[in-house]
Order: sequence, then C-alpha cells, then structure tokens
Amino acid sequence: MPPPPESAEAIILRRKVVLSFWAVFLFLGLPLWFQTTTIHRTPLPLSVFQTLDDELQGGYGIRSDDCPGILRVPVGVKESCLFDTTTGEISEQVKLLAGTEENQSVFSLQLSDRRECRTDCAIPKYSLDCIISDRTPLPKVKVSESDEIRVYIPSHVGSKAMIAKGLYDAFVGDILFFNKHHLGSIDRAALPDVESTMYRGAPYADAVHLSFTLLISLDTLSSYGEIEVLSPEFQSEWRGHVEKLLNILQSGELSRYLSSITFDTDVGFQYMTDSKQEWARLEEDVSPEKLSSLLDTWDLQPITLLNTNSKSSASKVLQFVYFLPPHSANTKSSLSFTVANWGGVVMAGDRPDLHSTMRTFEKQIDKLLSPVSFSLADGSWKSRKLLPHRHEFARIATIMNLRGAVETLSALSRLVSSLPEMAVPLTVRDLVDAAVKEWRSAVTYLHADIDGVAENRALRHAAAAARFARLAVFDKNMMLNMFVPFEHKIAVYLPLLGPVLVPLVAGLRRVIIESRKKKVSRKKKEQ
Amino acid sequence: MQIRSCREIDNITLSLVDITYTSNQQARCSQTCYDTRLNYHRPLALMDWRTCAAIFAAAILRQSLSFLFPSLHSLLGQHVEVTTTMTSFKQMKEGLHLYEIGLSPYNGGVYHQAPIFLLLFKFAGKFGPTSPDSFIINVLYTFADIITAYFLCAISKSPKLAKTNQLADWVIAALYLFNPLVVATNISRSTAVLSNATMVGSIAYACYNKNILSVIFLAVASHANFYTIYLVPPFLLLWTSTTNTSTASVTKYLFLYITASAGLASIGYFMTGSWQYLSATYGSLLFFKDLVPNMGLWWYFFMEMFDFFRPLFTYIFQLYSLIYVLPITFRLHNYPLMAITCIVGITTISKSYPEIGDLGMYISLLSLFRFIFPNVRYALFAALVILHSLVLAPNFYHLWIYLGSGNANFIYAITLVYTIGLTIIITDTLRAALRIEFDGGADPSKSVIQI
Repeated sequence: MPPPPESAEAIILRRKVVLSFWAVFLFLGLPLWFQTTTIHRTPLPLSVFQTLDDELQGGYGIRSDDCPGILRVPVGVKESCLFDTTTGEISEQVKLLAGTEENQSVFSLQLSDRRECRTDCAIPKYSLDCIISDRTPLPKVKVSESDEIRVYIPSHVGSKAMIAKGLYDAFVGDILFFNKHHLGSIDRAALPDVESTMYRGAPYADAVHLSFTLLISLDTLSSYGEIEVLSPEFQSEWRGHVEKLLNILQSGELSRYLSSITFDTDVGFQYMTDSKQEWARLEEDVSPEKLSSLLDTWDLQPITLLNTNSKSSASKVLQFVYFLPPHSANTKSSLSFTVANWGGVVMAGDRPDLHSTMRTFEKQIDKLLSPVSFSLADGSWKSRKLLPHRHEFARIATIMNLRGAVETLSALSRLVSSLPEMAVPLTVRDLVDAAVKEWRSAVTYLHADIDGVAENRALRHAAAAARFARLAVFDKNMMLNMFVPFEHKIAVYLPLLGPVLVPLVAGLRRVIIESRKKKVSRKKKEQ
Repeated sequence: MQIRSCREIDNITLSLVDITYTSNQQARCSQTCYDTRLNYHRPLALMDWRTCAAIFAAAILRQSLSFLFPSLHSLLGQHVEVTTTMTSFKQMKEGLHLYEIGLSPYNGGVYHQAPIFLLLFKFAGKFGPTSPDSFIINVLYTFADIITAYFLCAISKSPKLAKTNQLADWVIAALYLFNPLVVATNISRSTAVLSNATMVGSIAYACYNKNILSVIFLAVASHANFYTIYLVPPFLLLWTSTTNTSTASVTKYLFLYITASAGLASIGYFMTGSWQYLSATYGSLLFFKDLVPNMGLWWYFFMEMFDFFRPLFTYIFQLYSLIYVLPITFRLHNYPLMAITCIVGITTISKSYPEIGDLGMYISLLSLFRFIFPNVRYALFAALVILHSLVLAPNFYHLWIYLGSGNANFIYAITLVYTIGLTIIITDTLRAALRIEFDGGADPSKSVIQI
C-alpha cells in the first residue's frame, strides 16, 4: 500500500531543509575547501634576481665570481719553521686554536713551504719565519712592514704548537672577524662598529664565567702542608682576591663589552700525580695534546684537568689554573701563559704569592677578553698592522655574501619554476624582498669610501641578504604540499565528502523530481 | 476546560496528542491550560514535595561525596572523559591565579575558558578558598545543579510542553541530579556545569515568555560555551512564538542577543586588556589548538594527518556540527524544544572537546519528551553501547597513558563506539518525534487491544 500523499506544506518544508543543507555546503563548505587546499604561490620577482649580479658588476666593476668561496691567505712557511713539523700539522693546530672547522670558516691560512704563493683576489701574501730565542719560553710574534711574520720560539721541541700559537696571534683578529661574519651566520644584524665586538682570545660572548682551579701535586701537599693549602683561611683569602679581581674587571674597560662577568666562589682543587694519566674531560676548546705539549717544555707530566664545579649558565667559561708545581720542576720564578679560547695558567715559583697570581690572572683575562683594537703598552701585539688588510677582507667577504645571496635566490627561482605544486607563501616573498633590499644597501655601501664604518655596513647588509635568501629557500611552509600527490588528495577528500554528498544529492534529486511532477500536473490541469 | 481551548490559547505548539486523556491527565492538562495565561507572566509554580526531596537528596549526595572523598575532585578532574582543557577546574585555578597577580591568564596557553568564569570565581574567592573541595565551591556547584534541575522541571510544566505526556517533576529532577554522568561532572568541578545551567535557564525563561532574560542567559551560555550559539535559530522560534513571527521581531531578538554577546566579549577585553583572549578561548576551541585525547573524534584525526590538510579538516569538522542547525530548525519549526534538544545532541557528538557531562545534559533534556519514548526502537541497544563505552573508556586510557601497554587506538575505538551510541539515540528520538507527527499526534502510549 503506498504511503499517503504528502501535504504541500511538507513538500515545502523538505525543500527548505534540503536547500539549507546545500546553502551551507555551497556558500561555506566549498569556499573553505578551495581556500584551505589551494596552493598559494605568491609571485616572486624572478627577473630581479638575474639583474642583481649585473648591477654589482655594471655599477661597480666587481664581478661576484672574482673571489673564491673561502678566503685563503697564503703564508709561505720558511724552512726554519719546519724542523720537526710540517705545514699540515701547523695548519691543524691553528684550526684547533681558532675553534672552527674548515668548512665553516671563510678564512683559512694556506700554509705552503713554497716561497711564492698564488694570490687570489688581491689578498696579500705572507711569509712565516721562525727564530729560536732562548730568552723567552713563550712564543712571540712580530709582523714586519713587508708582511713577514716572525715567530720567536724557545726551541724546536714542541714547536708546532708554538708556531701555531704565533700564527694564531698574528691573525686572530681576522679569524674571529670572519668566524663571526662568514656566510653561515651573522647573528647580530644591528652590530655597532665591528671592532668593538671582537675579542682576541675568546669567541664573542655576552656573559663570561671565570672558573679558578688550584692544581697541586701530591708532592707539593706534603711540603706545603695540607692544612695550609686546604684550610678555610686559604679559601677565604682566595675568595677575597678573586672578588677584588672581579670588581676590577666589572668596573674596568671590559664592562663595556660584557654584560656579565661571574666567577666561582670557591676554588676547585685538582691533584696531579706523578704518574702519567689519561686525559679526563676537558673544556671543549682545549685539546689535551695542545696543553700537554705546552707543559712539556717544563718537563712536566701530563695533567688531568677535570671539569670544575662551575654551574654557570654563561655562554663562555674561561678556566684559570693556579699551578703549584712539584719540587722537581725547579721553578724559581712564576710563569704564566694564556691559552686562547680556554683561559690561562699561572705556575707558581718557589714562593707562591696569591697577590701577584691575581695580577697575572687579571692580565690574562684582559688579554683574552679585550677587543682587538686595544693595544698593549709593551707593543708586543702588532695587530694594527693588519687592519688595513681587514678592509680588503671585509670587502671580499661582502662580495662573497652577495654572491651567495644571488646564487641562493637563483636556486629559489629555479625551484619555484620547476615545481608547480610547491607553495610560495607570503613569508617567502617578504624574505625575498628583504634580501633584495639588503643586497642593494650592501652594494651602495660597497661603493662608499673605504673607512672603518663603510665596509662594515656593506658586510652586514650583504650577510643579511645572504641570510634572508637562505631563509626564503628553506621556508618550511613551501614544503607542505610537496609530499601530497594529487592522487592522495583524492583519497583523502573522497571518504570525507562522499558520505556528505550522497544524501545531499539524493535530497536534491527528489526536490527536482517533485518540481517536475508539479509542473507536469499543472500543465495537465491547464489543459 | 477542554483541550480545544488550550489549542486556541496556545497557537505555537501543534497538538501532538489529539486524543482524550485519562481522567488524571485531563485534569492536569486542564489545570495547566487554565493557568496558561497566568503562567506566562508569573514566576514558576512551586514544586511538590517529591521534587524538593529529590533536590535535597542530591544536595546531600554532593556534599557527602565532597566531604567523604576529598580526593575525588582531583581524581575525576584528571580524567579526560569527565573534563577537557576547555572546562578543567585546575586550569581555571591557574588562570585565576594569573589574573589575580596581574598577568593575563591567556598567556602561556594554559587557560582557555571564558573571562566570565574568572569574575565568578574571583567573587567566590571572597567567601573562602577556591579549592575544589572548599565549602564555597561546593555550594556553588551544588546550587548550579539544583537550579538546572529546577529549570528542567519548569520547562516540563511550561505551556510549550503542557499538552504532552510528561514525566513527573521529581522524576525529571532525579534523572538529572542522580545521573552518574552529571554527578561525576559536578564533582570534577567542570565549568560545563555552570554553562549548562545558563543554557537550561535560557530555555526555561523562553518557555515562559521571559524573552529578555532568555536572551541574556543564552548570551552568557554562548560566552561560556561557544557551541551554544548554534541554538540561536531554534531559540528565535521560541522567542517569537507568542508574537507574530515577523522580520522585525526576529531582528529585535537577534540584535538583543548580539548586543548581549558583545557586552560580554567587552568584559573580557577590559579584564585582560586585549582581544587576545578570543584567540585563546574561541580560537582554541574552533581551531582545536590543544591536541589532547577526549571523548570526541577530533584528536585522533589531527594526531595523524599532515599539516597540509589540517586547516581543511578543522573547517570541515566545525562545519559538520553547523550544517544541521538550520535544517533541524526548519524541520522541527513547530517543536523548537525538540530542535534544541537535537542540536544539543549533535553538538555533543561533533564538538571538538566533548565530555560526558554533555551526554548527561542531553539525556536530561530528552526526559522532557516522555511522549516519544514508546516510539523509540533502539533504546536498550543504545544504552548498552553507551554504557560499555563509558566503562571501557577510562580503562583503555589508563592502559595507554599510565601502563603503556595500549595505544591511542584503544581509546579512539571506544570514542567511536560512544559516538555510535549517541548517534543511535539522536536519530532514534528524532525519528520517533517525526513519526508521532506523521501519525497525526496519536498517543503511542495508548494501548491497542485486539478484540
């Protein structure tokens, strides 16, 4: 038996229901679907990328491929330096001191035992000469007017470390400069004058923590007396000296460059035995071989330097060791040396004196943390000689950054053109615009006269351009759609929308059939 | 007074029962019909002693549970089935603390609830500590449940349902107050208790033609629980039921609602100093920012999908709960209370952060429609499905999270079962109501005797 006929009101009601479903689906659902699944490709100024390099060359006569990817400063090493070592070993030691790997630094010394070195990109070439001098146990370096570097070492024994130290001291300003401004990163885009933020002996750090250790041999303990060295009075005297030192540092020139200088309240004790030991955990910037070779000159056994009880969260920790040598060392006067990126060591003489020790520590801290432009009164530091070449280095680094930026932007344009399914969000366009703007600023400053400010701004803008270009290429929002092929999208949409569409279509079909029937019946009635 | 007179007085509700009542029911109907005009303008009638006893017993139960098992609050508050990040009392406390020390409670992504709760609990804090087992909080939540039960009884006696076969007041009150889902939600101190109270209050006031109060209560309920905004279309039917359903009246109530909502939103702005709270409250709810397991269906999808599809699925899932509002309102335009109940049930399934208190509320609203029960076919089956899912859900969650011997599929399967049970209830009750309408309103409780 067929169901009773529907009333007109029921039919109208059903139409309203079906059409309200369709209204939400059509006016809300479909637009949302398109909006959320459309691949947004913001147009990029691809044509601009091609002209950037032309602007650099045409405007200023600088070809971006003039300079190699890495600044290789040729240094011809004379035979006097190669008595018991090789250029490769010296080069490795310098890298260890610099704390950088080859592929991270744009500045490296090309040590060659040939007198004539190939010069790239108008970089001056140097020659390294080593002179044995018995008068000083510490390596010293001098750079002459003719770009000859002389390193004074006490003997050929353990020379590679000392030669490396001398080379490092000669170029430390540039090493640190380019370590900070290499293609990989510039983390401070708004730097003031670069010189004020460079340090000779330690990588740049806002906060520095000083850790003091008393290194004592068991033999010494028996002679000095355990009670005297380990007594609370000694601790409080030590603490007083360290606090005084800290006050001097915090009120001095260093406070202009550091936001925080802290220190351990207590001195850590380490004991050295007479037997040879394996190296324990050391500070990451110091290799046991290096320190051991330095101490070898005093015929000391290798020591084990354990990590101190420093719990500071500072970005840089410097270790300072007050070493009380055993009696067998026969040291009449105190000795001290500074280890770049690590700290300093003061070896007590036959009459240990805390006051003079702290004064030495103060000088070591000053040497490690003071900026390059600070020159010592004794004139042993000749870094100012290299400053004019730094300008050239900065210009070269600027060009390298600009070349990197244009290569990256070109890669981006090729990527976007070859992958039509790759999304290009607005953030990428903003980064590209920022990169182009920085590029143009860098080129403008590059053309300016060479002075301490101009090339630094050019380098900063160039590095910023390279950074923005890299950020644009590696924007993660571009990858969203890359791993979702069209077929997979169908597989996702079908079960989501299918069950919704089936009743909608059925309802709409019924409405259409009813309206047709109504028209037919109306026509029949009219007839 | 005959039923015909009732129909003449009340034009909004088509007579679902067009038969002769039994003598008791007829007398009750007559009494109600006689008082129809008066009830439109007078406060609600006093309840009978059974209802008062049920309310009193419920209050004693809640106080006893809080006193005897003080750790029950935190225990239940940790269960994802009972509370969610949108209704958690623990997060409300953290937000309240941040607010009291002068920080924005919406910083840090901890607090996602409406600012009005901060005001409420700050005010409550003046009378005592705001810990879950404190006296003032106990009283507040007990009062919220009691007032909800009172509103439900009032709705059952309202002219909108006067001519239908109703359960006794005390049964309706007991079904709500002693519902384990509601009790658990209350003990866990979920803020859904308070938002449900305002929603039911809005319904009650609308049934008694106190439309301004109803609009305000609905605005408060929407401010506290965003999904209540879906009830605006059926509420418009309720509000315009005693007047001509003209564009002017609809516009008037819409304008009132929007104004009240804007006022409440402004309170949030002045409290927090920025509109950031909208993103933390409604934004988190709508865009499902806090990905945590619950009794809903969303979290599992969003755990598994690629980021590319996330916006699409978010909008589609939200659209899924929205798309039923207008069609149900159209279809049940003569039964706005049933439409409200259906939409409450659908949002219970499809909202982003459901909890068992929503089911308790839906069941309590269903209890107002006694007349559809005889036509419901799958009551036992649906009840068993729901019961099984509610028993297994905490076990599977414990197995997954605490013991580590299960996985997300366990709890998600149970949420699917729970949703199926709810879907059966919604479709079955809706079908029953439409069947009664189709049959011309014949009372299905009337037995058929074959001679």
